[in-house]
Order: sequence, then C-alpha cells, then structure tokens
Amino acid sequence: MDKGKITLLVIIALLLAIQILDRSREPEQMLAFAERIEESQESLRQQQVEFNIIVEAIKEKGIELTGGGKGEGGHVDPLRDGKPKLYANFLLPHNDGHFNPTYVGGTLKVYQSSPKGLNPIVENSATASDANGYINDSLCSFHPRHPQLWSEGLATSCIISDDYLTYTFYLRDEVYWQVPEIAKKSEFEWLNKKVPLTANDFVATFETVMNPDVECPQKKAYWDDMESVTALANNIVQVKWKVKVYTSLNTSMSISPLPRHIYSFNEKGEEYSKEEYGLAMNKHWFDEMRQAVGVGAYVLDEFTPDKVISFKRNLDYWGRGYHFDRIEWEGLVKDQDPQLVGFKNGDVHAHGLSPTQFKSEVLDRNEPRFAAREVNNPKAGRAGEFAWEQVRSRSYSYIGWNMRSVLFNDKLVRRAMTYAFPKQRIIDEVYYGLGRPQVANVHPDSVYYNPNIKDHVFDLKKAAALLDEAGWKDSNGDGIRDKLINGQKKDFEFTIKYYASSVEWDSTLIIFKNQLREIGVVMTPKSFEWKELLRVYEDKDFEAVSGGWRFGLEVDFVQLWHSKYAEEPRSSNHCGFKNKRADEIAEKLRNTFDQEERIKIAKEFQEIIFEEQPYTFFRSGEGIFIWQNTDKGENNKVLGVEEGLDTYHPLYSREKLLWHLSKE
Amino acid sequence: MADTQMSPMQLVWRRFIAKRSAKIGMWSALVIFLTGTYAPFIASEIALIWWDENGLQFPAFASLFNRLEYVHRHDLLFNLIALLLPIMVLAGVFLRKKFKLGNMVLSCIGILTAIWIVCQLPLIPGQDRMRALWDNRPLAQEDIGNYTKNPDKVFAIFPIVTHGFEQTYQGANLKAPFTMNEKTSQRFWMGTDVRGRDVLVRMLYGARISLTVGLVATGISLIIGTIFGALSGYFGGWVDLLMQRMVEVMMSFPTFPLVMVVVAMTGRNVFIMMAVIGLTGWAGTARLVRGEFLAQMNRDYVLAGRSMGLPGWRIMFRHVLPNVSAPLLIAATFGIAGSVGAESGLAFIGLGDANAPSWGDLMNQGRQNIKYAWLIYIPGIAIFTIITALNLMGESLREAMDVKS
Repeated sequence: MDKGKITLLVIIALLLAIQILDRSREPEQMLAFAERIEESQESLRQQQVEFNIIVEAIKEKGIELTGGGKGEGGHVDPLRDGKPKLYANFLLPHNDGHFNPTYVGGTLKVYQSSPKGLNPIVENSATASDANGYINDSLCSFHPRHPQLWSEGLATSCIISDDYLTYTFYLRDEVYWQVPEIAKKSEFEWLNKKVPLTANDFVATFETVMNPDVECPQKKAYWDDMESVTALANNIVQVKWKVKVYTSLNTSMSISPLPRHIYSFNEKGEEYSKEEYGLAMNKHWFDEMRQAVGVGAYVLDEFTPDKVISFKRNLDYWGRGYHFDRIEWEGLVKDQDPQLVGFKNGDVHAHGLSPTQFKSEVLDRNEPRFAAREVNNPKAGRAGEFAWEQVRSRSYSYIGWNMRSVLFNDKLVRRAMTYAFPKQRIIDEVYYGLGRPQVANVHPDSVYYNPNIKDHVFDLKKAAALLDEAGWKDSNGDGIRDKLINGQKKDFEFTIKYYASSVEWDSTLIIFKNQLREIGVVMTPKSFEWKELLRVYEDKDFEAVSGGWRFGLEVDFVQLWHSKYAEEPRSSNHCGFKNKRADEIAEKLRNTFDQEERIKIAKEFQEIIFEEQPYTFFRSGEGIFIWQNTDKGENNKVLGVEEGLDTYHPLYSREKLLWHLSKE
Repeated sequence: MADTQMSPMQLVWRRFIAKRSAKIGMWSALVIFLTGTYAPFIASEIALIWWDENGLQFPAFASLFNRLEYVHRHDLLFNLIALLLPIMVLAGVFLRKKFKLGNMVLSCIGILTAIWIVCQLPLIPGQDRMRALWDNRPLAQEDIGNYTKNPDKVFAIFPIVTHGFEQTYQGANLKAPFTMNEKTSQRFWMGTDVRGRDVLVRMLYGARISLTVGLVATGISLIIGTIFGALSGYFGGWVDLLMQRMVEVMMSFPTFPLVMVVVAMTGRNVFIMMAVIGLTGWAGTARLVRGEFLAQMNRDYVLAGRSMGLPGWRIMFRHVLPNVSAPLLIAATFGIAGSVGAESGLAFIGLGDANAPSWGDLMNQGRQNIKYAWLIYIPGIAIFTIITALNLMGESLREAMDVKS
C-alpha cells in the first residue's frame, strides 16, 4: 500500500474513533444541554413573573385601579398599610365601613359661627376650612381610628420617590365637580355642565397659591419649599419639592383641587388674563355671590355670612359621606348661655359646655337632665337626657418665661416657678377637672409623647430651695427675695401678661400669685386685649406671659424652639430658647421620615425642653361635649356618638362618621 | 329760733339733719364708709394682737403699710384714714370752738392727702436703700395658719372674720353662703366667688373702691367743670360762646360708651377708671357753674370788686365761687352716686380691674355664673344702698339749701 492510502485510512479511523468516543459521551452532553435550556426557560419564566409583577404594579399604580378603591378587607396588600414609604403605594383603601344605608337622612344642626367667605385659597379662618372640608376633598385623608395613617381620597395611589422629593398621585376616575346653584340662572348657563376632575385642577391650586398677587400668606408659608405641581396626564399629579422636609408629606397629601373652570373666568364666562387672575382671586365674583363648589360629600345649600350656612348631600359623590342629608350651622346665637338654652330647647343636636357651665349644670346639678359625674366612670355622662362627655382637644397652655431677662435666665429659677405652680389644683378648681397636666411640649395623646418624664409636682419647699440655690435670698428681711446683679440689688418682682377676656387665666394667676408670695416672690398680673397681647409676643416685650398652642399629632420643633428664631422679631420662639443640641435634633427631625427614628428624636427633645423649662407647661385642653340623648319625636336624638367616642382616636372623637339621627 | 347766732352753713345743716331721709342716707353712707375703712380690723388672716415668746406684737397694724398685703394705693389712703380718723375726731371735738367746721373738714382732707403723698416718697432708710413707708414690707408671719399649728404657746386675737381679701381658698370656689371653710373652720357668711375668695371680705374692701372712685372721679370732674364754667361765665362774650360749644361737644358724647372705649383702650386699672370717669363727666358741672356765674356777675359785690381793681381770678374764685357752692355741693353728691354706678357698671361688663375687689367685679362673676345668685344679690344690694343713700342725701341737701321752699 502506498503511504497516501495509509494516511487516509488512519485519518478516517481517527475520525471514526472520535465519532465513537463522542457518541459515548452523548447523554452527558444532552443532559447539560437540556439543563441549559431549562435554565434559560427558568430565567424566562422568572422574567415573565417579574414582568407580571411589574404589570400588576403598574395596574396597581393607577392604570386599572383608577375606577375606585376597594373596601377594607376586600384587597389585602401588605404595602398598603398607610405608612409613608418610598416607591410603593402605601395608601389604605378608602374606608366606608362606617356607612349604613338605613341610617341615611335627617338634618344635623349645630352652633358654629359661619365664616365670612368661602374662597378655598384666600379665606384663612378655621370655620372656612371646616366648611370647605364638607364641600371639597383632598388627595388623601387621615384614617379616623389611626390618625397617623393615610388613606385614599381623591387619589387612589401615591408613590413617593426621589428621596421624598417627588410625590406622584393617581387620581380617581369619574369624579365630577358640583354644579353651583347659580348655574340655573340664564346668565350663568355657561356653568351648567358636568366637569370632570383632572390633574390640572391641582396644578391650578398650586399656581394660585404661588401667584404673588393672591393674598394668602399663611398658605404661602407652608408651600414655600414646593417646587412644582404638574399634570403628567389627565389623572396623574406630580408634586416636587426643593428640599427634603417632613412637612412636605402632609402638605402634598392634603392638596385640594381648585375649580379652575369657575375661578379662572369672569362672570360673563370670559377667561381672565394672567395679570388679571391673581387680583381677581382676592375678591372673586363667585365668592361675592356666596357660592362654593367642590368634589366633596356635601353641596353648599344656603350661605349668609355671620348668620347661617347649610350643606346638603352631594348625590354624585364618589364615596360615602356622613349619614345626614343636611348639615346646618347656626351662627346667629353667639353667646355661651343663650346657646346652652338653645341646646336645651332642642334647637341643635350637639354642643359644648364651658368650664363654668360644666360646674353649674353638671357638677352642681342645676340641670337634672344632665347625668351626675361619677369619679371612676368617665362614661357616666352618657346616661342623662342630655348626654355629656369629657373630650380632649389638641391644645396646651403654658406660662412662658423670658429667658433674656435677668430673673429667668437661670433654669433653676424657671424650675422653681414650675414647682410653685399648683397645676393640679388649678385644673381642678378653675377648670373643674377639664384638662390634664401638660409636662413638656408634646401632647400626651401623640405617639411622640415621652411618658418617662416625671413632672415637677407642686412643692413650695422645693421651689424655695431652688431659688436659694440660684442665689435669690431675702437678704434684707423685707420678705422679698433679692440678688446682687451687676452690683445692684434686684428684688424678685415681675409682671405677667395675659389675655384679658379669659376668666380662667384671671383665676389661675391669682392663685399662682398667692403661692409665689409665700416664697417671697412678687408677681403682678396685667391683662391685655388680644391684639395688644399679639404685639407683646411679637416684640418679646414681657418677663412672663401666658399663652397656648394648638397643634397636630405630627411634631415639628423648629418653628417654636430653634435658636435662629430666638432673636428674630415676630418669631414664635418668644421666650428666646437657645440650645445647641435641641437645634441639631430639631433639624434632624425635619428630614427624618422613619417613624421609629422620629419618635426617638422627639423624646430626646422633650427631655431637653423639660430640663430647661422655658415654659411652665400647664394644661392640655379638655372640654365637655354634649349631645341630645332623648327622642322627643322630633327626630332629634343623635345616635352613634358613643360608638364614635369609643372607637376613634381621642383627638378625633367629634368625628361625625358614625352619627345618625333617630327615626320616628 | 335763735337763728341769729348761726352761720348760713349751720342753718343748712340744721335743716338738713332734721329730714328723715337725710338721716337714713347719711347713716347708711357712714356705715359703708366705716366698714370699708376699718376692713383690715374686721376681716383679715393677720392677728390683731399676737403674744408669744418674742413678746407682744400688733401685726395687723404693722402690715397696714405692707405693699404686698395691700396692692392698691387707695388701700393705703384708707389705712391712713383708719389710723388717723379717731385722732381727728377727737381733735375736732376739743377744738370745735376754735375752728369752723368747714375749715376743719378741709384741713383734715389736706392733712390726709399730704400724709398719703409723704408715705409714697422714699424717705425711710432701709437696709439697702431708701424706702417709702408704703414700701415697708414685713411679711406678716403671725397669721391664722401659724396660730393653728401651736395654739398653746401663743396668745392671739384675730379679727372677727379670719379671711384675707385676696386669699384664694383651696376647694372653696363658688361655695354657697354659710359654708364652712375647712382650713380655718370659719364659715363663709356670704359664700365665695369663682376664685375661692370670701365674698363678705371682698364686699368690705369693695366699699373702699366704690368710695374712692366716687370721690376722686367726682373731684376731678368738679375741678375741671368749675374752672371751665367759671371762666366761661365770668368772661362771657365770644369766650363763653366758644367754651359752651366745647361743652356741647363733650355732652354730645354718650358718656358710658365713651368711658367703655377709653377704658378698653387704656387698660383695666382703678386709677385710670377714676380719671376717665372724671374727665368725661365735667360738662354738666361746667354748665351749672356758668349759669350761676352769669346770675352773679351783675350783683353789686362783683361790681364793687371790679371797681376796686381786684384781679379776675380773685373775683371768680374768692368771691363768686362761694356764692355758687350750694348747687355745686348738691351736684357733687349726685355725681358721687353716678361715679359709683359707673365704676360698678364698668366692672360688671368685665372692664374692671380683675385684681381689685370691686362690687361690680363680683356682679360680673355672677353674670357669668347665673346660677350662683349670691354673687348678684349681695353686691347688688350694696350698690343699691350706697347710691340710694347718696341720692337721698343730695335730695335733702337741695331742699335744705333752697330757701324758697
């Protein structure tokens, strides 16, 4: 054989051998191949799942769900717990569990001074915003049982992104603006149409507030750090902020839409130019005609400023409002005693008692139709023909010490003052038990409250010892403590300024004055009218001053306690409180969104305040709430109040969600 | 009658005192004045006499000039009167022959005012600086609280009512009359007010405020009105025309609302109230004095004075004024009643000094707590009594001075 053929055969043999060998490895290879395929299929499936999740999420975030929220329990999503978080819809579904169709009907009447006007932007009074709360809705709302949690409102979802700088809201579908009463007239026929709510209505709110011609300084202050509100689509609103600040949460979530289809037109239906709009808003023709529209549960029915305002059910409302067909605010009877007589005559369904009325009507049993107070039963008042119950309010009162004055620049002195202040006695005798001792600057019902702080309970001996320690001693035997300050002997005498029309402060300060006299301190109370007292606060023109703050359940300490405001005129830090650590954590609290962390900071802050005692904290407010508890055949018994008081948060106990009237 | 021996003033006095209504009025006013003046010895937590191992003391007297015990300056005046009144009455009885009654009253008022002013001047050396007598501040320890702790070691005599007028008794607010005070085991004979203070004691001290306001406010309006009216009536002509137009402007203001506005603007202080009531109430007096002056200007004694070249002010105030003082005195009596009413009215609507024990303030509390009737009736009866008394006195005085009737 020649060399060529042999080489060829060898090559073929080798190839065959390779082939044979290769064949023998086939199962392994196949397996590996199949595995690979499987792997890729798995990843594909994974991707598919992920895709589905994304789709689901997108659906969730509004594209399909804009039709309306599901009832409580209908849809369980662990992320939707009402606690603000990033990149997820956290809103609790709209809760209408309170609503019972069989209860619907009747007119609820209360005494409430009616507002001067109803413009949602320009009017600043509390009653105006209460009225607008019936007529209009906001993007999101508080949960009545847990006011820390957010639930759906006009928005069905809210996504926070960009480290709490951007809030994106997806709006509810099929929400329409109310048609105002005047649209029935021929000259306002242009208003007689069904206008859907869109994202642009929220943009209009923002632009109006920010318009330099519009006079709404209070709102402007809150919205100062807001960068923009934009309409990404007809049903998507995006709120952007310049800086990360905790108040942005509350402000963004509670934006209400503005009926721009009315406010941006003049009475002939012609659109205002940009220049005209701001000025027109301040005295708008629509407000002058005493009209207001919104997308809320009630429609404005009758409005005569300072007399009466009433609301009737909005039949096109997207959700479920209260049970009443009508709500009436009677504003003509303004004095306390005639109001009480009116209540007793059945003119109104619910009312309140002042401390002196409580003393006279309930404690001294001058009105047998109120049940007597029982010491261990806070619900005893529910038994009477007229029911009463002690309810809490979101306010506290205090005596502020001017920390710039030579008398009160020492914390020992301020602490001594607190020891000399018979807090509990005054609450019992002047307020007849309406109130709880306030210890530091957070309301006891707030989650931020620090229960570990033990108050300086009234003790004159301790007060005297502290004053001795601070160097205030009676060196010349005239009965008044004195101290050498800059080589000059100064007696411990000061003036306290207070609000003239407050009978309770009159009494409080007389009792306090008598206590201070026993430890050689002379205090002279001096009363001021409200406007004058405001000037006293603004100019910080006092040694001691009485005061009170209303506050929400959220906390922000910068406005009241930051040292940058200590010397600034018209600031709220009128006592001149300065503390480095306090500044630090107050600022930190402002951009901390984590609840646990916030609570920790707030508790530390209260400890600092308590240590420093810039105020002698006095009393967290309580009042007496009364309601009709017997049916006189006039449909006037209010039901559901007790259930509301028991189930809702104490600071929301006057929430009317569960109320309804007895049926004949 | 032996009228020839009597001066015109004595005649008037005799006629005045003969009237029954005048007697009733005078005695009521006197009782209110005396209880008000001697209030610190009738009602106080501070002992009148205190005898312990340190010796005999009279704390109530020592604390009369304690600014912590008596915050208001009119209290000092009344405490002074309380101390000096017996001396003055005695002096009056013994020196009756030497001086005329009118001069004596005037000099008493002069002396009291002078002493009152001196008491406020820092003349007494204290341990660290000069102090006024008014600033003398020994904190009285000898009170009912100390006494109850060790009654065996101490001999003490307390006033009839052992309640301080500013003291807020714990757990005693709005107690009905005759309720027991658990701390001192003494009864609140007239109940307590909203702040747990004894109404009886506040009524006693309230008399001081009513009388002070009545006298001072009327005094101010009398002085202004007299000068204004005298000038107007004396000069006549265009001066009269101009000044009467000013009086008309003053009269066209409704007084009480005007006082309300001014008090609300200036602050709730007894002294400001007195000044405002006085400064707004002179128009009537001015008219009265002007009328009387016009009637007197053509009398012979005025012409005689003029022809002798007496200066105008001397004719006005030395010769004419005594001749018009009778209607002025009557006007003053009614003026005091009016001022007392005005002060109570202001306090009643809540414009009074919350720290001063005014009757009107008690009624204001009663207005706010309508079910606690004693807060209305007790001060109401007191205000009614004093205003009626003053009006009766004024009426009788008018009749006594009007010779024609």
